[in-house]
Amino acid sequence: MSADQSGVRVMLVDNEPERATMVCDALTSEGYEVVGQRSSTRGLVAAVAQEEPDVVIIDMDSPDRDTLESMSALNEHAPRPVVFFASDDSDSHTIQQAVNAGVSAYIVDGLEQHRVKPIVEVAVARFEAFQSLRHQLEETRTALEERKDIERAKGLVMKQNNCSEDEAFHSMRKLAMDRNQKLSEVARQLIEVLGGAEGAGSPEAMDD
Amino acid sequence: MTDWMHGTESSETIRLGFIPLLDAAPLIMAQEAGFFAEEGLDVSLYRQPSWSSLRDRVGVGMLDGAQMLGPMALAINMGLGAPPCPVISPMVLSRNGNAITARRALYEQLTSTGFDLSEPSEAACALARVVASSDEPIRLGIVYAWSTHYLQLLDWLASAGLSPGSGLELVTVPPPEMMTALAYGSVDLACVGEPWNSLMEYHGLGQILATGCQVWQNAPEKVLGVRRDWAQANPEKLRALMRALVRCCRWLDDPDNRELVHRILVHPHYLGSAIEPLGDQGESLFHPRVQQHFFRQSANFPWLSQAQWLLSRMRLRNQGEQLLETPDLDSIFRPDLYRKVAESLSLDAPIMDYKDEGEHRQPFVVEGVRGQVEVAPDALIATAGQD
Repeated sequence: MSADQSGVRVMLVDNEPERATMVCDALTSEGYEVVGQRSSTRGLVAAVAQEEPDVVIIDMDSPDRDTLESMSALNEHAPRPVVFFASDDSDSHTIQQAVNAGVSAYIVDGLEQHRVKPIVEVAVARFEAFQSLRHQLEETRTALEERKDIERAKGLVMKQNNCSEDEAFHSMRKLAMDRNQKLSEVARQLIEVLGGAEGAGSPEAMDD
Repeated sequence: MTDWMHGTESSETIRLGFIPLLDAAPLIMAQEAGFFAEEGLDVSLYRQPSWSSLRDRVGVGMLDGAQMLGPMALAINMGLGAPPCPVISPMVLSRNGNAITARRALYEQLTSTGFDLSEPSEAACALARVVASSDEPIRLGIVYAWSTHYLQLLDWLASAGLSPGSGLELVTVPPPEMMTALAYGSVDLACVGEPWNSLMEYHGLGQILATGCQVWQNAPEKVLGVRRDWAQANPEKLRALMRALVRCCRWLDDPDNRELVHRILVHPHYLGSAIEPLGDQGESLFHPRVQQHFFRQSANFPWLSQAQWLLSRMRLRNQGEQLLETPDLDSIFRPDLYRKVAESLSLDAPIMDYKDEGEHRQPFVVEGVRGQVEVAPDALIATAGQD
């Protein structure tokens, strides 16, 4: 990163501590000074006055964005939303990407556009990375839970029908195909039916 | 509801944003009471955490439209605070809905001045008296600069020759936190939309001092704002959307439906349990003094004269004064579209787009397309030497 980024002060407002750390690390390694990283916007107005950041990066879903915007309408030195008015198409793309990623940015004292844009881009990249990380985690968690459900249902069917593991699995898979449902859904239903009341019936008894 | 990843939408889905306030009721109830479905519409509602987020999401096209503050519908077209996005407002969703609530301690000081607090300009004079004799500045809580509330608050102050700065300090606080701010004294006077004034009264934290309706009678509080490109690509859908909303607004004005409205709005997806007290003890969900309404007396008609009025007040308060060009108001507020929708519902609508704002203290009648149409009064508080 070019040397002119040093001395640019960025305030980060994000209530996702892990994401905040990611953004902070990335900005710091690009040579920015991250000031007053805040987990919440409480006292934000005072913090902006005290820390005098050049740029505020704030989670788009923070309800206190209106507070920041009102400051700018009421006070000349307050943060103003980053607006890339230029005709350059890549600028409107940057804004769209930022909104999609959940990043909003404010400048305090008219930092030039070409210096703001890389900051926004760093934040957007980290927000997106965090989002996909969270999705992966959720997917893994769901997959694990589904597998556990299937195992448990299989055990219940084995006990119920007095059959082998293979047979239990096949009867469950057939049920899933007949009903056009996912195996994990069938498993959950079986747990509901068989798990609570032992001896309530075979899987076939669930058919309407 | 703000989860953008739920993936149940098709290209037919209309995506609309709302802010959890009582005047989101037209959108919420049109969804929940089936008005959208009856018009064959598939609508997804997205609750937004702030006006800024709502505006940005409409701006980049993540939302096709939203419940908007009257001044916001102008600001978004003018590019104030964000890149300009052409948005049209073919109908008003609600009238009135704001109030100015004084913290208990301040209210007692105001009472002791001897002014008649039921008169808004006298209440402002009472405030001027308290400000003059106070060592500490009085803190005024506002929620957003480009809002009807803010413009109404400044007009109310001006009625007693007051303005922020001289012993009055403006503090911006998001609506859900206004109650806490008032309770702990970081705000002495709150100007906010409903249900927050009612709730501050209910919890004994403050007293409504003046209502938005007393400052600007029956102002266009929230409007429907949709992206112009969406409206042009979907003219039939827009008409169906407006039909559903007009029908829902009429339904909302019927007090018999209020219990159901409360039961739906209290849902965590909408306003949440904060509004639970408003349904208890036979209290009305809608505060009688605020005079919030949705349909009666041509409430939904988007008067161009009111767009002009909003713009003139924004300019007076230094909003957008740096822009040289006057925005093309008749490409934003669209009474022509409203008239067509009213026609298709066998409702009448005024034939003119302009009326003399501020000249009517009583309900009055104008020529309609079919016959005569009743219109709500539009008196404005007198501001001292600012016009």
